Parts: sequence; structure tokens; C-alpha cells
Amino acid sequence: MSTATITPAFFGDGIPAEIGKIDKELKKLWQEQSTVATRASRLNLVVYSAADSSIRANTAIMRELTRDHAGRVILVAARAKSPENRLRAWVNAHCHLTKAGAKQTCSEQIAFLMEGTSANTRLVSSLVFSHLDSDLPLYLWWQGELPAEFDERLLGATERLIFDSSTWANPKAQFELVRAIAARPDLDAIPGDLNWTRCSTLRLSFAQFFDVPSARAALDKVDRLDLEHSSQGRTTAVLLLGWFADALKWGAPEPSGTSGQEFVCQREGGTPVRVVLARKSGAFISRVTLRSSEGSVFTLTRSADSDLYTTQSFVAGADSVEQSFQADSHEPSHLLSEELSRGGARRAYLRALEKVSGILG
Amino acid sequence: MSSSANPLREGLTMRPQPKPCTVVIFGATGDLTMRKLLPALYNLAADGDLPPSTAIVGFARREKTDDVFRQEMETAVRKFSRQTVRDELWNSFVQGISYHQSEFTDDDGYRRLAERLDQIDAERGTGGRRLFYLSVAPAQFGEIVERLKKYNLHVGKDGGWARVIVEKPFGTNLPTAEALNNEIAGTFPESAVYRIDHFLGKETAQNIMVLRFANAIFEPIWNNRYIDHVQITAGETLGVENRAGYYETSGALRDMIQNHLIQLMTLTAMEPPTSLHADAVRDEKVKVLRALRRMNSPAEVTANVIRGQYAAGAIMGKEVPAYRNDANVNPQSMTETYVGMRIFVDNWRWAGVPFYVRSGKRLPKSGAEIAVQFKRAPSVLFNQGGGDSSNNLVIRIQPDEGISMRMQAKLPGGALRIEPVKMDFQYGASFGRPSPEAYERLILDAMGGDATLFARRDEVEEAWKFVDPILDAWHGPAADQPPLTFYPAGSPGPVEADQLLAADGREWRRI
Repeated sequence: MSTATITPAFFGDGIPAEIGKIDKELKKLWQEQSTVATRASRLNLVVYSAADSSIRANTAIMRELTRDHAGRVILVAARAKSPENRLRAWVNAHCHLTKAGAKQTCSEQIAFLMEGTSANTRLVSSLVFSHLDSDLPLYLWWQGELPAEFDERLLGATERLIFDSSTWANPKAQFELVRAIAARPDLDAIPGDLNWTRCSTLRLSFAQFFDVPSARAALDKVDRLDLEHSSQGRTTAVLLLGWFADALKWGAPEPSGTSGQEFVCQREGGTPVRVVLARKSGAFISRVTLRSSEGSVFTLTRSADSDLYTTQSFVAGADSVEQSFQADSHEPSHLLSEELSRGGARRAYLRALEKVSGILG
Repeated sequence: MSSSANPLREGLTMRPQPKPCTVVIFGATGDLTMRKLLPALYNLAADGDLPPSTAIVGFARREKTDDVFRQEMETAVRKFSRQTVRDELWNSFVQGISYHQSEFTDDDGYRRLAERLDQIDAERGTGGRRLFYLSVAPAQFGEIVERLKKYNLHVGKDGGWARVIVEKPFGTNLPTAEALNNEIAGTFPESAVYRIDHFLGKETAQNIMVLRFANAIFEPIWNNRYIDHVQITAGETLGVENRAGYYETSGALRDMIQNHLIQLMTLTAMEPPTSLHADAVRDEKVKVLRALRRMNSPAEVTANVIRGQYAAGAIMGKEVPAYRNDANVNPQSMTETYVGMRIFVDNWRWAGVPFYVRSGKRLPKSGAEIAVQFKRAPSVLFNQGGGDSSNNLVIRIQPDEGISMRMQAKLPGGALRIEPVKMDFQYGASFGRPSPEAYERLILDAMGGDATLFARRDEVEEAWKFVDPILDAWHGPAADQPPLTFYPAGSPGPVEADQLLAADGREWRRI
């Protein structure tokens, strides 16, 4: 993006706008543009957060995201502890030069700050529905814990419910909510867990080991899985365990010992697979190791400061093979962009989730 | 878990990732390999779309080691890749690249190739899947595929498959195309033959079907009741550069019209296919080709086709020489660098709707587009003052890929003044991510066994059946030959091409 071609009004926190006159303010924003710009939109993205300073942080994320995904962005921030009871709004635009040349395209952003008694999640839909870009799908990114009772109108209109399970204090209850929402036939909201997106390349990189027939044979003899994760990455590790267990048709993991970090799954035929989760500082997932009874070892590692995965395999009777892959990004804008680029009903995610539902606590 | 399929791949990604295979590139030291094929394969690998165990074997005549070949490929990829090459990723990617030295006619080279491919299957898990890319002159297709068959490389091994990608030109006329196809068919079944036309790998070309058949508003008006005519244009500012040797025997008709533009035309004119299966789509395209009105005499060719050659002129403030003065061009050359033609599709949908197709070198701008010109609204109420009040829908293939629609709108103010306005969809604006290069998409499709974007034998041969009479007229008895016209470099083409449309009461869109 060339900042030189963008008017100052299109930067910063945005221009304060009176509630009820937001469309007028948006129109003014375009009229004030000194350069030629095209408004682009292919989705409505609503972002809800109850965290402090979320508007500024999310504005920065949206500035990056809209390079790839032009859309109408609606940020809703709730600050319940504020002494003031009020509702404020700002309008803004994120402008980027297109890849083809000097033409600018801009995505509109409307930010709402609900304070004090106005910070009520039940009011969110009233703000959202008054400002959606018509006819375009609605994606809702709910930051933090999902509410026990969602606004039905908002949920009913949502095509993708995006969240990050790595941020949850109570994953068990939260995942139950996700499964309940996914199971409702009256809803179209597909769950988009950024924590699952966070390990999508990891799963792909690990799966490629087993394209080789000799390695594929070892999959039937796996007897141990080790997952090293950061303190924030425990649910990521648990979801990965669910993915392995589902894909390899293991039984649901049962706790082993009292550490809460060791589990046993039963392979088809009843052979146990020992699963050990270990907390290590560094990347969300810093190491995944799968071992088989005949001595094959498959390892994927990522060091804390690297954006690469390194995979290494030792298959009994064959040479060791080492490869590098671009690792999953942990940047929120990249994760969100990746999530918005993916289609599908997230069946693999939901199956993995079901597999580990007993150990999510 | 007794199956040999990799269970961890199931449901892993929405992007269709093919199974790993070995790509054998014949002509691996050539320009296409360095500029397009290896960069495409690297980009696929870097984007995670290529199975990491994919192997690449460069097959060529020159003596060199694996390491030298890898170094050459690294230099080429760093120069031509659309994304920056990362050392770590390159180091992983390069492990799958090797070089195989052999003459194309040396049997022993193929015997050794077979052994090498077996070894790669065992080491990398490529599963007896082999993709042979013939990046060589068509004259060498036969000698290569014949030996692939001799050493049983024309079939997959251990449940795998063998496929062959061939590059244009697919012949220089119908008999040579048939001969080439027969040579290939002697070794590979048609389902394993992938004739690449890189225009079809472009995002907007793929979008033609989506635009037509995923939007209910277009198909009802996509016919002769509502469409006045269609213009398909591919122009470039460049001359023949260093391709004079090829171009002198080819010309614009063979180089652009017979393949790229007629392919775009079939996508524009075809009926909805019954499915998105490759043969369902290609069946419909072939029906269009069969419905093209043939030009059966030099007089019909003269009446419908203008051939031109650029004379000296200027482009972007720079003087450029005439085609005949370009390096390695015959000073008396009769090769056409421009073709503008009127084509009719004789079927129910398109009866009476001309398709004006043009392609030229040394035109004022480079670009390719399909413009669908709708009929005018009745001259009552608003359209009595003349002027062009028709709507048009323009599909831009390159550059600045997108779709725009022109419509009429009232100019603000008391007076009733109507002006055309344009609704514009740009890929770059709505989808920020760059589109993959055409070769990336097409190689991946061939690996995945999807032939939709490749030309089938009957498509190629039907296109030649349409083009051959034009070539025959141009190369027939001098007295009957349609004239070769000249246009200044930097102009939009010969005035005769303008007159072709003017005679129909129409004009070319401004390039």
C-alpha cells in the first residue's frame, strides 16, 4: 500500500460520526477523497470485542485484512466498566492500491463503542443490522468468550461464526456452545475457529509424510504421539489430538495419570496409543512427534522465532528425510484472511472436536 | 486401516491437492521450462498446493549433473517466479529435482528413465504416477511418446497413472494436427492427453462459465434476441522479438486465433454443459466449433477476414521498424501479424450474431478481452437523439482482469441528458490475493486429472477445419489470394479491418 496516495482522513481511529447519521458520514468520507478510489465489498465482517482498546487493535487488523478481503467492516467494542453510559461511533476506510496498478480500492469501516449500560450484547444486532452492506454475506468474528445466549437474529443471519478457542478461559463450556450451534439445523453459521486455522499448514505438512508407502505402513503401528505446546496452545494441541484420533480411527482419548497432560487412545484392534502433551515456551505448537512400534519416527518442529516448519522422518529401513515448509502464521490478520479464504462445513474440525470432547476441561 | 490411502489427508484442505507424482519435463533446458514451468512448480510448492513429495525430472540432451541443473533452475526461478524465493523452501523443493541426460531418440535413455522413475516412486512415494511434459518441438512428440511406450512408461505403475502434456502448436493445419494426434494416440489414450492452452488457465477465462451459468440474469439474454454482436480481441504492443523463426511459419492466425481466441469464443458461445466434468464442458465447446460457418472460397475469405502486417510506426513515443525489417524476417514476408475477422456461429442461439475476432502485434495497447454488445433499447422515450445507447458487457482477460458493464444513466440536473456509465468489477479490487499464473493452475489440474481447461483432440481438429480454408486461400493461386494489408505499428490495425465492421454498421472497440 502506498500511503502517499491516501488522504489523511482515511487514517487513524476514524472520523467521529453521530449515531443515525453514519451513512451520511461515510458519504462525506468519499466526497473528501482527493484521489480516485473504488469502493469494494464482497462481505460484511462484524467484529465484536469486550477487550480494552479493541477498536484500535482491530482497526490495525482490518487495515491488513482488507488488502485481500474487501468488505464492509463493523467493529463493535463493549466497555461495560466505563463510568459513562453512552454509545459512540466512528467511520473510517482502509484503502489499498490494487495489484494491477495505481487504482485505489477502499473498504469502509464503522466502529461502535458501547459503554456502561449501553455495553449490552443484546444491542449488538441492532447496530449491525442498521449498517450492513445489503446482499453480501455476514461473517461474525466474536472475540473472547462466546455468550451463553446469542442474539438469535444476529446468529441467524451469520454465515460464518469466527472465534479463537485459544483465548478461552473455559474451553469445555465454550466448545459445547460451538457444537450446539453447529448442530442446529435452523442455523447456517459455520464455525470458524482461528485456533484450527492456526494449525492448517501444520496438518498438511504432517500428512505429507504418509504419502510414501513405507511411511504409510507405519501409521497402522503408531503407539505414541507427543505434542509440545505453549501455554496458549493447549487447546490447539488438544484439537490436533482430536484430528489424529479421528483420521486414524482411534478411540476417544482417556486421561492417564493425574497430570492432565497424558492420555491413552485405543487403535482399531485395541492396541493403546500413548499421548503426551507437554508445555514448552515458544510457538503455539513447537513439536509434534508420532512414533510407531517398529521404530519409525515422524517429527515436525517449529522454533519460537521461525516462520518455518521442519519435518523429519525416520522410517525403519529407509533414509531419514528432512524438509522445510512455510509455517502457519500467528498474525491475527493472516489467520483471519486464511479463514475467510476457506469454504466447506468444517466437518473435520467438528469430528476432531467430538473426539476430544471428554478432555477439553 | 488396511487401505493404502493416506488417512491424514482426508478432508484436510478445501483446495484440491493432487496426489504426489513425478513430473518429467522433456526439453528441460529450454526457455519455457525456465521461464514458466519451474517457477510455476516452485510457486505451487511454496503456496502449499503441491504435494511435497512431488519429484521433477528434467530430460534433455545436454550433458550436465543434477547439481548443475538444480543451480540453473534456481537461477531461473529466482528470476521468473512471481514470489520471492526463500532459501529454506527452495532447499526442500530442490531435493525433488533431478536431471536425466539423453537424446530424445536414444532407447537406452528411456530404459534408464524407467529405472529412475521406479526408484523415485520407492523413495518419495510418487506411487507410479508420471506426468510427462513435452516442452519440445511438435516434430519430436512422436519419437518421444513412441519410446515411452516401448519402455512401458505410457501406463502408470502400481495403481498409478501416466499422462502427457503437450504444448502448442498442435499442428500447422488439419493434416499435421491429425498426424500429431495420431502419433500421441498410438501411445496415450485421449483421457491421458493434456493439450495446454495457457489462455484457458487465466482466472477470467475460467470465470466466463461462472459468469454465464452461476448468474441467472445473463443466460436469458445471452442469445440473438438481445445480443447484437461479440468482439474478441487480443493485442500486444510487442513485435515478434526473438521469435521470428517460429512466427514466420506461423503468423497471427495460427499463433493466436486458431487456439486462444477460438477457445475464448467457444466458452462465450457454448450451451450450458450438463456437468462440470471435463468431457461435458468440452462436448459443448466442440458443438460450437462444428457450428462455425466455414469459408469455402477465396472470395468468402476476402469478405470476412482481413490479414495485415505492421509497417514502421511508433509505440509509446518510440519508433519501431516494420515487420519486414525485424531481425530474421524475410524482407518480402507475407506473414500476417494481424487478423481481424467476422465469424458466424450457425446455431439457433447465435443465428445472425457476428463474432468479430482480432489479434495483432504492434498495436497501441496490450490486452485481451471479450466484449458482448447488446442491442439498443427501442428508440422511444429516451433514445431518439442518436448516439450509442447500447449496453455492453466486457470481460477483461488480461491485464486488469475483471468484468464491466456499460449502461445509460441520467445526468443530474433539470435537463434530460443521458450518459453512459460503467459498473466495474475488478479482480484486484475485490480479491486482493494475486491470481496464480495460468501454468500453475494447469499443471495442478493435469496432476489432479482434470482436463476441463485443456483442449481435446476433436476441439483442436475442428478448429483447424475452420481455419484451414482461410490458410488455403492465403496460400493459394496468387490471382485469388486475399490481399495482405499494412498498418502502421502503434495503430489499431489496418483500415480494411475497420471497413469490415463499418460495412455492418459497427465499429471495433477502442483498444
